[in-house]
Amino acid sequence: MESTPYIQTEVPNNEKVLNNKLNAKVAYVENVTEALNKHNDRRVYELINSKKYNELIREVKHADDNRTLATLVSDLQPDLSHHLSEQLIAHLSEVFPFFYYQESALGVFDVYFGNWWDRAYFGRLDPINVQFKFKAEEYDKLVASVKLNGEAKRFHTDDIDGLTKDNESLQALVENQNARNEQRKELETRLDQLDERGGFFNRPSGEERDEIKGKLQELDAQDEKAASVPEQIEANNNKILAYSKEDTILIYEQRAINETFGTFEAFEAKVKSLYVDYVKQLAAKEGGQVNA
Amino acid sequence: MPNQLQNRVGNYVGLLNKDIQVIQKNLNDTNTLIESTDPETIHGVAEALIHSNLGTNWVQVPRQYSYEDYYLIAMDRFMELSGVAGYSILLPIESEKVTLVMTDLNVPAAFAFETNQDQNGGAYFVELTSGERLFYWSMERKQIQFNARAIVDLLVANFANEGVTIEQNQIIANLLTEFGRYMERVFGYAVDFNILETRDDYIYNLIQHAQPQDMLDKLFVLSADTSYFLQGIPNGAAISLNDHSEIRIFFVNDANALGAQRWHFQVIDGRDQYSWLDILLSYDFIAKWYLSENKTLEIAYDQLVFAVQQSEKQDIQPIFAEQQGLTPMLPSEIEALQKQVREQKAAEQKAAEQKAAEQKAAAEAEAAKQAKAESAAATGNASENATSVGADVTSAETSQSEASVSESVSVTQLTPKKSFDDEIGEAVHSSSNPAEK
Repeated sequence: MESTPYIQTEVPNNEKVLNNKLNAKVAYVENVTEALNKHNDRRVYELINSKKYNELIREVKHADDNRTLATLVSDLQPDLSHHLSEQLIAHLSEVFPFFYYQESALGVFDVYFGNWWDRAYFGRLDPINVQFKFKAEEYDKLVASVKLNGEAKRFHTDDIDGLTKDNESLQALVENQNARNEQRKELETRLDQLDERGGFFNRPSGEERDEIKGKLQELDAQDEKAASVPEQIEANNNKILAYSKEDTILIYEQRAINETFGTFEAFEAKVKSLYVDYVKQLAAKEGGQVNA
Repeated sequence: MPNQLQNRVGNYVGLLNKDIQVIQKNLNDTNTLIESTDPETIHGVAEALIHSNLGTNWVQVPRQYSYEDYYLIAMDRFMELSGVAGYSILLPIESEKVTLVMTDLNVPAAFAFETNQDQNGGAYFVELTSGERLFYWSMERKQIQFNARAIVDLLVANFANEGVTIEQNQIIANLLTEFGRYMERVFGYAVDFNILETRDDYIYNLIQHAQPQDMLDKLFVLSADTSYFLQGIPNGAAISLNDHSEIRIFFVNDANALGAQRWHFQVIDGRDQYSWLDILLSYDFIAKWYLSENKTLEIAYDQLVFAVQQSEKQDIQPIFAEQQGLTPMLPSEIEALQKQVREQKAAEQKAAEQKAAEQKAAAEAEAAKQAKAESAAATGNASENATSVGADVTSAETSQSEASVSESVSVTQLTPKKSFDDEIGEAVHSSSNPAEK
């Protein structure tokens, strides 16, 4: 068979395009390398997420993203995170003096609130995106306790009051033991009397008997409850201690925030604007230029 | 050859002489104890005196210093030599019993020794009202052991609650510590300071009665109302306190300890200045915590020496009520003196009565004069009033003087009855405290 000359596969030459693309990648990697070597973290932030940088720092509306280029270094995130944390944590320790960090794995930073006893594990720091990722449970507790503080209450005030009342009624149960013993004696005597009076002919009143037996059973139940009071009070006290501890921690957290920021809202705002504040400050250090 | 009578008299003289020699030796030692300025010499005679026996039969000494007194006299001498201040010694004229009191203390307390009755000898330094045995002293073994439990019970649980200030408590703590240090330094005593130890590198050992449960959580919660806060450290917690000081509470893994954790305290200030006791005295929340936890754990002390924690409690009011003075007196002499004082008082009273009578006469004359003047103008009402005023004055004075007569008769002491505080003040004032010089 002869080949048909009319149908040919045309492969246009894209070498140039490819070259350009490759060069762009090489340039990107070179830029990142240079920024890292010069410890120019601002440039690193610009390079790893140009859309965010342009929109938030240059205040360009709807900037293009450079996700494709950024994927070139995406497998280096732990190393990058570690690298960027150095300057970032130095900055954070001034702005949020009550946060402490522990690198639990390369580039992974656990955030602890405060330096007091049993301080809370408060979430993670994300140096690449310059943001806190607070543990929802802890953060929500703090928010709730700030709200309660407005009502002059602590987070666990109601829990503790409830347990304290519990303990009081438990204590009363123990203290009434003597009265119950007296009552029991009385009921038993009456039951004996009924038996005696009964004999063969006068069937004792079944109703009265049942009533007395019912009351005795009630006493049994209360005695049984009273027997376990010490353990219950102990258990309640342990709960109260745990709640008091948590309240104390929440008070310390609020106090730390108020001492630094004045209000919780100011703290929240500072957390929100962390990227802008930090990267702008890096730029200012470089010589006031955000477009370098 | 002497005859039988000579023999008999000779034997009599011999027996008396023997006793006199024993007494003379005791007197010489006692004199040395109070006069010598050489610590070794004082220690030597003190040791001899606490073993001496004046139970002589032929020549008897009716009034003697007891072994307990010699311990206190020796302690006073050593404290004088080391410059410890803030205390005085009560000096009753009617007996030889000596008692130590703190010069500036607003609660009734008095300290004395009580000898240990078993074969180990030595004596306990006891606060008499509470019976707390603060330390044990053995001169023979050159040993002093402080009792952390008693010191805490007395100064922290007891005194601090009765309004004794930190400063007053620290004077007592300082007295104990300085005495221990002096004995350690000068005679090479083995001193167990435990709760009084101020060295930074000293790790307080604890007696663990039970396994601690959440004790650091409790301290954390107590600290919430203060400006101090508990911080985590490896195996425990620490608190930064005032004046660059810091306490640490931590455990060491130890399979033999209760719960496999052997707990310790440490007080660090960079100057070896503060002891655990200082911390308890200065920080109420830590004291409260320690007192609530001390059924679980407490600073270690010698549990054999202090197997019995307290001596019998004593009423110290009679001790303070006794007449103080430098010269011992026999009951007959005291009675004579009292009589003299009574007579003097009576004379004064008589003079006062006479004066009052004169005044009354003068007042009556004045009143009469006034009444006369007034009656000239109107009725006799004014003169009645004036007379009744004069009568009131007389009756008041009579009852007052009657009271003071009955007082000076019924009370054995020479001075009129005073409040207990006055007694303490008086007693302290009248005793001679070498440290006050």
